[in-house]
Amino acid sequence: MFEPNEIVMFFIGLGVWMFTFFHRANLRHLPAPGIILAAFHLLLASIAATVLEGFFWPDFLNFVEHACLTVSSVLMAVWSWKLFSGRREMR
Amino acid sequence: MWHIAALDFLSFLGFGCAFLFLVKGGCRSCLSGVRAVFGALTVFSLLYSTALFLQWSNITAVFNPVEDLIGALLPMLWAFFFYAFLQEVSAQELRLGEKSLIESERKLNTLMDNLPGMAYRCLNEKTWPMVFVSDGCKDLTGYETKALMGHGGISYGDLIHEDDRDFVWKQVQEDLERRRPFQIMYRIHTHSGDEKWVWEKGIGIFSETGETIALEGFITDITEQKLADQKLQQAHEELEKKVEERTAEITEAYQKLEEAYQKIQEDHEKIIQLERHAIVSRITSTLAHETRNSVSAIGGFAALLKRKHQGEPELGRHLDMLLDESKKLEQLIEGILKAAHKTEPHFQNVNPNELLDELKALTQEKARLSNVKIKKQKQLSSESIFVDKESVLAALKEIVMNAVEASPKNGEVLMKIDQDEEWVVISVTDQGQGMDEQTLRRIYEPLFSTKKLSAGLGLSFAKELIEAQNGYIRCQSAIGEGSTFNVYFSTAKKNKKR
Repeated sequence: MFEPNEIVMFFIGLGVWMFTFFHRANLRHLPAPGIILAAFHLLLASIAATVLEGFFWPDFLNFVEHACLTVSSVLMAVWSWKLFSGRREMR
Repeated sequence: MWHIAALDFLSFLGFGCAFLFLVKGGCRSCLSGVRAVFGALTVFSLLYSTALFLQWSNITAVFNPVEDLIGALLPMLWAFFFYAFLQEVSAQELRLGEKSLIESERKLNTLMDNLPGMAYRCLNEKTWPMVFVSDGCKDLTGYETKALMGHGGISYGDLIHEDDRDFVWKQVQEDLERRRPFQIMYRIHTHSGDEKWVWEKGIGIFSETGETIALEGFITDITEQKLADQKLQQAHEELEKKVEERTAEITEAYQKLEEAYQKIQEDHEKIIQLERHAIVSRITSTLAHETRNSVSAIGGFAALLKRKHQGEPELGRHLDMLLDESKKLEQLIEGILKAAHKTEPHFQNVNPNELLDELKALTQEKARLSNVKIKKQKQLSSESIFVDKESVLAALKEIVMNAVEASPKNGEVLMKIDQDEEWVVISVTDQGQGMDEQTLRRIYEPLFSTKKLSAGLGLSFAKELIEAQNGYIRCQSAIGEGSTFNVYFSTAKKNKKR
């Protein structure tokens, strides 16, 4: 069983992913690009898991959804710390 | 579902920390747009995780619609975040580009301001209108940059020296045609009226169709170098002049040396001749001295025999001939001894006509035996000569006998006299074969003769005898035209003047 709002979220996420894909060269200029892009991709994985849990493995994929969101939040915190609280500054 | 609620709580903490770090360090960040979007992202993520936590911990489900809404917003916020970052990067690159451009311009200006000359861009026209000139223009020409860029009513072409304008134009056009940089040196007039030498290097700027759009290059002052070059050139020319002078002196000295060497050679030859004369003189004087007594004895005995055989006319005639020849021989020996300075000369006034008469008488018999006629040109000489008669007769006899021997059978030997106030010239001309120049140069050398049965002493003695009388002898001869010996004696009048 799936919900329309989850599908909408997934397609919006897919659109943003395409945007990042086309501008991947410029986005590499982000400070610590690996961390922030990983955080974004984990959010996408979380959304994908939300959609997929309506079809199979509802418990496991639900866990994956929340776990991905948690790791994503941690990565965002790390990135934020490195960027705003640490010595390094964005150029 | 406590473990899901725990994960959501951790998410809440993570997003909360991210937000706190952003707030804490936000003041140091220069990326304000990105920071705002990231702040919104963390706040919405925080709300999303809060709603999830409340839902999965079964506290309340009131916020489920909010969760769905925020969940849909999150990807969009990520998109805004990336977009804001890209915009910021573009803006930064633009700012950096501008900064870099400004820095480049600053460097270029500094460089051009410190160049020892003037950088320029001008149109390819005869007056060279300037589009751009660097600040070095003032130092180089005395004019402000604006004045040369069309605001002063003057063009750079006006500054070029009148004599160099055509040359500059032709040179530049030639190099432009060949699409190569040009380098030229010429003179300009400065604002103060001074004349300067400048060196210019430039290149043409061409359009895609090949037309010359402009010229760009650099002009610098080389007056000092040019003056130094001119001084160097002057020094070089002076040096060359000195070298030429010295060379001329050396050449002159060498010529003098060569002349001196030639004179030494001539003197050496004269010395050899004198030595030969001396040897011959010694031999002949000894010979003459030794034979004189014998000849006298022959003459004496011949006279004695003549007296004894007076009744025999045939024998008497032969004895007369013997006596005559012995007398002649004695006279000759006497002459030789005089020539060798063994006897003292007896100078007296002598009439040349009488002298020639005697000479003719002395040589007539020999000439007759050789079938040669001796003729004396009838010309009376009013001047007498002051000489030793015997020596002169001996000398002239040698010349006449030489002429008789050189003449062909039935030939003639002509004797004549010429005179002026100072000299009496006695000439003896034969009709012989004549002599070439080489022979003519050597006829007075002792022991030189072209005849087989001759000792080669006759003319040598004759010359010596004549020169002992303060006279001299010259010979004119050519092959096939006979020879003429001219004997010069100074007149008695001239001798008195001395």
